[in-house]
Amino acid sequence: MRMTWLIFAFMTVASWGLYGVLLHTGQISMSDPVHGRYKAFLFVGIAYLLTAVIGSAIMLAVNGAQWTFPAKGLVWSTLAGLVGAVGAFGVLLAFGAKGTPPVVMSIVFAGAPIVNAVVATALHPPAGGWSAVRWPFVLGILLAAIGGCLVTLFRPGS
Amino acid sequence: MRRRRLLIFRRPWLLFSLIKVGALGIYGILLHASRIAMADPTQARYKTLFFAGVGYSLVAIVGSVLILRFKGIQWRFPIKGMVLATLAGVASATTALGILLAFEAQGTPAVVMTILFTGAQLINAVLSLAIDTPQAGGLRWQFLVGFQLVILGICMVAIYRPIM
Repeated sequence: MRMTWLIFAFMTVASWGLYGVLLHTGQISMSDPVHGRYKAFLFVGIAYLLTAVIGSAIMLAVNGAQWTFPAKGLVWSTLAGLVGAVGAFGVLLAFGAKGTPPVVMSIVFAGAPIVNAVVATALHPPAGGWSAVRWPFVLGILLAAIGGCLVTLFRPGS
Repeated sequence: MRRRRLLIFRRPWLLFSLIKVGALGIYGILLHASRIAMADPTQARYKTLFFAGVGYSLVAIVGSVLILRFKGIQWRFPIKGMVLATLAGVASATTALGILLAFEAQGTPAVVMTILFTGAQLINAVLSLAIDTPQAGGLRWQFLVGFQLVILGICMVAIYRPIM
């Protein structure tokens, strides 16, 4: 049970891996080469509303949860949603500004893990501080970031 | 510094890409912080997902509608495009739930998000290959090396993760 988090992490990997393909196919299926990406994003938002907002509300009601939300939790989680959507919108704008998908996405997938690791470790330092961060962990993040960049940049058909 | 700023202004796509880098880089950290701030050991995941959904939907729906209206496009949406984009949204929301579940099971943002960012690229690449199979010899060596680097990197991150 010690590695349960890893199972959830890989479940998430699967759904996010699927997300890109679905969004890309959805965008093409909109049959609008100029605005297809915005049309697709509109429906992503609607699905998010249905799944995350209404789905969570149903789960909270079914579980008999108290409808009290600490202000801090409310602000952080709304901010997380805003940041997630602004990021998704940033990619659409980058594509619209003539950035090619392989280059844009390779920048994103090489940069995001590094930003995340630095900010996360700064905010939640491990027991023993920065010195407790082992070099294979840092090397692992760098290798994964470089690998993600190569996979995206040199994907067949790119 | 001056030259770098100019490069970004000359290539707006680079600026937008970096916005995405920053946003994605702190997304998991914000989810983790809000889950803790909800101070509810059993329902925090749904409370967090609820407000993350509110924030995401606001930007995605209102932002898209504004851009589409501003550009004066026709409000016609092919069924296939609608269905696939909606499924993409469901996959994205499922991702947020998965991240929260991984945090609840003692995964830390630095580890979980690194696995997510890089692992999702592998799934994405494999699915793309399955949909659009390349000809024999069509796989470039850089792609194959990248694939192995991601797997190696993920293993190292999971094994050598800092003890909190």
